[in-house]
Amino acid sequence: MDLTGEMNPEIIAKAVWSCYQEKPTPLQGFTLYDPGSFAETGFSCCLTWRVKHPEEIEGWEIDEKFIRKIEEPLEKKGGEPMKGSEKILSLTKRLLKVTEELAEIARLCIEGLEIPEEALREKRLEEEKPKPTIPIKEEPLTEEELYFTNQLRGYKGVLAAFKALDGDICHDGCSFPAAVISAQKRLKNLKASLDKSSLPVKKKEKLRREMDGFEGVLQGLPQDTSQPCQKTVGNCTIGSGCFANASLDLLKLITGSASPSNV
Amino acid sequence: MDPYFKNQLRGYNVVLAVLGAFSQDICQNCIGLSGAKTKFIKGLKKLRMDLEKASVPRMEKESILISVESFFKAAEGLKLAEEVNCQKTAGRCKIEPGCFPLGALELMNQITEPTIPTEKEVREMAKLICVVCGTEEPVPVVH
Repeated sequence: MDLTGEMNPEIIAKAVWSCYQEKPTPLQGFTLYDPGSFAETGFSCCLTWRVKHPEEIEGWEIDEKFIRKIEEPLEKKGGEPMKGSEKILSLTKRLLKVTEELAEIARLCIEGLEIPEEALREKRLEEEKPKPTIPIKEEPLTEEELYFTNQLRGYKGVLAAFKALDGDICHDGCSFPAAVISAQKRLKNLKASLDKSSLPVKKKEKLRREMDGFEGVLQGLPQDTSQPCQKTVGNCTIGSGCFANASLDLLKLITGSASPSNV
Repeated sequence: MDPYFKNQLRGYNVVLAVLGAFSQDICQNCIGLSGAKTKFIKGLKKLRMDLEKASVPRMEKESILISVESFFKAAEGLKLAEEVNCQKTAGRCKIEPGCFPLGALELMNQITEPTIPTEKEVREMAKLICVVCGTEEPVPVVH
């Protein structure tokens, strides 16, 4: 029953009411009622491991072949059951493999027993020697450190995108230079915040050096906003979006550490 | 060049550059970058399939294919640890709740033209439901 476009509330209410009646109720040439729970065998099958990485499946990948693969019973994957001589041959091959592996283990045991006591002692001493500890990169602990570290991580991505866009038609547009100028201003602001921060001098210097590097890259990118918009000119046909602005928006992904209040 | 392929290649070029930058970061050990890399490669595969079906002059097709293949190669070369896990869970990434590699992939969403045939994809999904449960499902209309 199709009630699309039906504007009479009484008919809608009657239709809904009819749907949950236990006895068949006539309405506009249809017979409506609630048949209760589904009387036939339920649709049920095991879906586990039919698709190993569902998160990686894209909509366009789902075709006839793909569906057939899902529908294929899991038992079939083991192949057809083996017959007489095939089974014996398979078992013999497996036995041979086990024998070879056992022989290898036995050989290693004999070698171990044959090594003179002195050599064994030396080996033990070598093992007991304290191994050099691998230096673990110091984690930023304070809120301030976190803020600057996160910002710099974001800038790395933004600058990579900008470098790619510099070789694109964006180079001759106006949005890209505007985005570059905006990134420069933000970086300047970040530097000023760093100066005001209470971070140790050494850490400040390290962060500043990184920021200076980023500033240098930005300076080498186009900053002339008087150029025509590449959409207006008809060169950029991606629609309403803008790669340059979206690249700068990568910084918006950082929400975990707000700018420290004293900065 | 065909606008669809031209735009897609422009987008993939930027995304690849950003993913490359993040592969030098702690993202190298992250499942986020691993997923983004997989999606990126799959996207390229889809583009290659679209190109095969497209009625584009042979020379143009070849030139697009060269670009796609070079992106494939570059994507395969993205640095990634053998065992990856979410760096947020590991306590190393604190930008939350965003994710740089996935954010980089979303740059592709800037491309809205030429429009992709969404209705066709929904029809395929509806067909999938029919095959699995055996009932006739109405095809949703995409506005």
